[in-house]
Amino acid sequence: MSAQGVRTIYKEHMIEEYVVREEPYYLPLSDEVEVFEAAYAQKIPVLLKGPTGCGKTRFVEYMAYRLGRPLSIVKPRTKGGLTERGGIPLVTVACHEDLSATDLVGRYLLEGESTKWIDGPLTRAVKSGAICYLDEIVEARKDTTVLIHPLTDHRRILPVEKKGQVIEASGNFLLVISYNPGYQSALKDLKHSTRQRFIAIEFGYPTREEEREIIEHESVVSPEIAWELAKLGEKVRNLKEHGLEEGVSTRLLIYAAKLIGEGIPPRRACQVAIVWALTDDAEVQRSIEEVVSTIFE
Amino acid sequence: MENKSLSSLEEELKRFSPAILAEFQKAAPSARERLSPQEFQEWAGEGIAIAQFSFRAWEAALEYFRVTPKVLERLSFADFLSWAQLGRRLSQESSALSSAYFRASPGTLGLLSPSQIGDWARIGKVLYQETWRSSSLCCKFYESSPKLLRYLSLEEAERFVHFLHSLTEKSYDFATECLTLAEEVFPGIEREERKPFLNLALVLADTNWRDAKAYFASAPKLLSRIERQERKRFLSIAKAIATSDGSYAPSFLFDGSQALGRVDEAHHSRLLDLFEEVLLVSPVAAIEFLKSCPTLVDRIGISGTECWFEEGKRVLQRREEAGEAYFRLESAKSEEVLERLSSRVELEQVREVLRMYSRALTGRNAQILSTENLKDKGIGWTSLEKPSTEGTGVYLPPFIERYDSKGQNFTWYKVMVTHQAGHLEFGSFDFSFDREAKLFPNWRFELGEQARSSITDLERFFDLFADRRLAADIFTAVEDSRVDYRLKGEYAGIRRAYEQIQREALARRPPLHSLPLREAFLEFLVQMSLQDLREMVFPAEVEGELRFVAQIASRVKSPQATVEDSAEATIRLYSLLSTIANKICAQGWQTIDLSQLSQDLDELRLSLDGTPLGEAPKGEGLPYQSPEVVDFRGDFKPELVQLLTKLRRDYSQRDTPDSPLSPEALMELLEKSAEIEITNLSLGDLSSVGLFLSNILGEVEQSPPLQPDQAKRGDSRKKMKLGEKPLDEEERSFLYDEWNFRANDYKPKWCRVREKALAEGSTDFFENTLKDHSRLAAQIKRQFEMLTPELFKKIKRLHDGEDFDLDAVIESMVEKKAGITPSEKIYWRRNKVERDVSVVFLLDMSASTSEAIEEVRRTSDDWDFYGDLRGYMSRLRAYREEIAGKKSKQIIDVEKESLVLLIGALETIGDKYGIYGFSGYGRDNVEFFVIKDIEEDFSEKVKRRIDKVTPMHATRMGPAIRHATSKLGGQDSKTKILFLISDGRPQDQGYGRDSMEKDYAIHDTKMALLEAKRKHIIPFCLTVDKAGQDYLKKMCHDIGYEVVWNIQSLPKRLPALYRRLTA
Repeated sequence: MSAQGVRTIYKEHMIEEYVVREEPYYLPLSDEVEVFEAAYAQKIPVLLKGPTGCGKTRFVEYMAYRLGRPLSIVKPRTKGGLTERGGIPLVTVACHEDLSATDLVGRYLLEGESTKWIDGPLTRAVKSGAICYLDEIVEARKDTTVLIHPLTDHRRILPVEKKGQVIEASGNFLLVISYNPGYQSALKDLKHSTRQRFIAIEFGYPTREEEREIIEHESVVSPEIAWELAKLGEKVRNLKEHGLEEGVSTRLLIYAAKLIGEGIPPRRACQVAIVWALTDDAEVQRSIEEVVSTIFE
Repeated sequence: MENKSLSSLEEELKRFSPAILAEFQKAAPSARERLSPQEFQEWAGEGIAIAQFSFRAWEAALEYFRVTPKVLERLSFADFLSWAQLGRRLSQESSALSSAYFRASPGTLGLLSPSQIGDWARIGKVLYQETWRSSSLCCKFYESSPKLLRYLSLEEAERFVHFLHSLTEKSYDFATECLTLAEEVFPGIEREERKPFLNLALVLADTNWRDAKAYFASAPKLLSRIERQERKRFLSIAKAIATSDGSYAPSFLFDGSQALGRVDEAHHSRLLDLFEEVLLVSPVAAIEFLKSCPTLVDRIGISGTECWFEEGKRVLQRREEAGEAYFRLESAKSEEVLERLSSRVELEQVREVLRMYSRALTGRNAQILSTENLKDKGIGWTSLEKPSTEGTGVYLPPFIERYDSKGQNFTWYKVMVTHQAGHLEFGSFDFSFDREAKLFPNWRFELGEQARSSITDLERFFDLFADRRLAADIFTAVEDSRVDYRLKGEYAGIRRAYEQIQREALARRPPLHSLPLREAFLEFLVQMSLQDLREMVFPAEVEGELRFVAQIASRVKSPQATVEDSAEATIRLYSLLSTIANKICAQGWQTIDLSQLSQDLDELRLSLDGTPLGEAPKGEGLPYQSPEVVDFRGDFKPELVQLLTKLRRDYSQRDTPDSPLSPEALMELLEKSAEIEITNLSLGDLSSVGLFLSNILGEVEQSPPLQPDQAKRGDSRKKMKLGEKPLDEEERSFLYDEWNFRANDYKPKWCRVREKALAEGSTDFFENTLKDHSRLAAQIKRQFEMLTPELFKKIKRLHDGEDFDLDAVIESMVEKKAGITPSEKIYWRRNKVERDVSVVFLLDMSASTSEAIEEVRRTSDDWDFYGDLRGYMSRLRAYREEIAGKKSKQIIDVEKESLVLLIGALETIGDKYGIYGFSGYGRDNVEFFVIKDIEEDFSEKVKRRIDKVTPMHATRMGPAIRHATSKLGGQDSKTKILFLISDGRPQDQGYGRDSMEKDYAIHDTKMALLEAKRKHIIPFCLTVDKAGQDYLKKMCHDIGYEVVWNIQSLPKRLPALYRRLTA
């Protein structure tokens, strides 16, 4: 086989065989884990809402791992076959403005003198019974709703227009989408016909104590530094809508912690990871820097 | 007979020169056409008369005949004759003069009324001094008249001639050069500046003729550096200088304007004020000051410059040379002051940073205000230098110049804000009487059992004590100590700076032994709060008491301590200190070691029964004085803050049935509160308490929201007034918030926008506009039609499309041959980019748009009256008639015309558009007129409504913009544009009417525009207000705007702008 062929097959396996093997760190803030489990058991699609960097993606990974753990879930046999260890594959698609239905379902590619159908990520997820996570769904083109609607009600089917097929979703398949209500424009809001097909879990920022724990876990800093960073996070979030469009994400706080862990002085680490990352407005930058210099020596 | 005399005339003319005859014959037909035979005779006779004067007079006559046909077009024969006689008189002086006069006439007469011709001839003649140089200068004047008089009135021309005349006394060359330059100079000078400009030129010609020419030549450049409004003043100052002592004038003119040119135009007025102040004392210093301005403003800003200037004035008054050196920036003193000022931090510069900082720390919407504001409110705060808070805002001194560096001065601000924010963050004002303290047993509950009703918890607490002042002082010291401790613990980064400032404060405390004993204890408490004292010099006789105080005070320095603990500590300290006599203790002072404090609280057994708090402090001694306030902590008035907070809360939920707040109870609270300074308010003086009370209530009521029920009430009232006439059925009303920039918050549901369709008039206005501007309309339409094909773009590399994209196909074939997966994006498609635009035009229909525009119109030199003289004359006539009939055009007419033209264009390209007008009076009555709703199709109705667009009331832009925004928000076009067309700054009652509110209106409008922008609407402001530049810059800081200088060009400009915006 040519090198090209190997690569294609390898890729194909990648998408639906991506199973979260290591337990991702996730600190439940409320009962979201139980809710998600219940939804999964009942095959109810889930919508995750929340500001950027608050752990939506991590949550999905965590749930995929957690739900895949009990091996009692029966795996359907697909062409590629699953690895012997089982688990629920996780297919993540980051949506962008040009993401069309074709990109999700699949398309014909030329191969040699003929054409060959290649499944898109959604099709693969449907076939293999994966959790398909469409991140920032509102960014995608409108035609994707054509796919989402039949998949998310009682029908659970995926129409593949170009092949004239309909694929029934495997038992384990679950569609999870996320969206950030904060900065989306009115035009890009989710339509009610779409959003009312999901249960919604809202994510907020963790409390100072929880955030300290997360930061400490995700980086290698001392609990004291983690605590100060969590404090900083809380203070900076007070500025939301008072100069800042969004509060500082836990992700950014972790970045700062990681930099500090590498030996960057805390004030500098906060400057690059938080102040400059958050805003371009000189006055707001200065204000946040003052808060940083108040908290860190 | 006619023929005969004609031939005899010709004969006569031929004698002078055959050339004359030729010109005569050329002019004769048109003259004959216009003149009666009798007049024809006179005409020819006049020519002969001119020719007879001198040997070369025939040249003048030749010009006379040559221009006749053109002059006759403009003048009646009577006027013609007097014109000719003027020429003849000139011919007596010099035939060259006369020739020039005649030659220039066709171009000049169009600019003059017939009665002015004589003046013109006379003005020119002034220059003639019977020498050949003067004659050539004079000729030159006549020849350039057609150009000069376009820019100058006759009066101004006369001044100009006087100027030239004065110059001729010194140098003819200079005068000639100036005359040559004039054609370029005058267009560069604004109409209203010309008079002062010429006045100055006249003075300079007398006093300083060598500079006069340089001044004259560079005037447009000089003036362009100076702010438009200030130019006249600049010139008159220069004139004053030139008159008194000419030698400084050039320096002022050239150096001064250059310096001003380097300073922001907004400061010019102020700087000239300052300049004039010093000018009286020393012109040298004044000019030096002006030259230093760019450096000064750059380094210390305008307000800093003012302070620097004041200092300089003092130096100048003492010794002139020193003052001059000071202003030249060449004295040590001036450097020093500059240094100090440049390290000074002004609140205005850092306000926004501190506000966000404080908001970040507290999570509350705190305002940062100057202490000036708080003092002016008259609600109990009197100090200017000390920071404070009243629950919603942190008050800071207007500037800080304690240290030599900006950084340190800023840190001082920061520490102050942190302390005040600490009070908010750590709950100083959240004191609850019934909440348990964490570190002390709760004595309050027992003590407060039989307490009377009280408004706030702190009032209830302080009611426990007979001497409220003493209790309040203790509480302040303890609570400040707790807050500082918590802050330092919580914020490691600021700790060092904080401690530094605490140490500095400690160093400034008064020595203990100078104080009477009770006050010494209080002072000790304050010092304890600033630093952990290990030892203290104190009278040995009260060592036990001192230990007790130190122990209690250090106990609240704990992360667990709450405000209730401070309160409990206050009870204990009060019960001890109230027993100590307030007298000077002269002996027995010794160092007491405080490092070992027993943790046993009950060491000094103070029983409750032993010292009832309710009794006045015992012991004789001096009257008790509160300790000095720690400067960085400032005023701490928890009781008042709680009261204000409570009042505010009550106010916002006013419906609560039985509010316990009777004015009497309030009055009582205020009277007994220790936080209101006696000096400010004598206790017995009920009227001042009353005033104080109303101030407080006013403070609370400052932003009452327009409750829905109130709004309703407003409606019914309106109905009552109108009597039988019910409100217009079609009228719909909407409530909008308004932005209060001082509070940094919205006033909820503050404005009512009433939307109604505009009445319909006739379609005449619409049709006439199209007719009058038919050429422009066609041109605009053509331009817009050209816009359409641009939209049919070929989109390449698509999965699907009309046809193969050949390039992509070839690439893909190549890739295929090469064994790479080829791209399948090999199609192209057209018409993918659709024009998808919605636009709302918002038309200012305020009263000011009724302003007539002839002023603007006169100066506009848009029409080329050179090329089209007759057209110009007819327009001029029309204009004069207009003036006579008072039917001049208004700004709004031009706005309307522009719209009419644009509608045609918009219909061509099919954009969705709405046209609305707004006006109104007061916040409850913002009228929003629908001229064409965005969903409505263009129809006769729209044409009729445009007719009825007339100036109405005031300009409250904010709500109108918000309403338009919501209209646009309902559209789902890709591009949404909000086009605001106005004639001036926003104003309405309580909205920018006076200078205090100007900022308010501008900020609200700005916020409304920003809101639109946030909703992905592109706002654009167009104004015809010449003063627009200054506030628009503020209002639209990153929003598109344009000031249309010449309102006549609006009909042309508006469509062009629109095209640019949407292309």
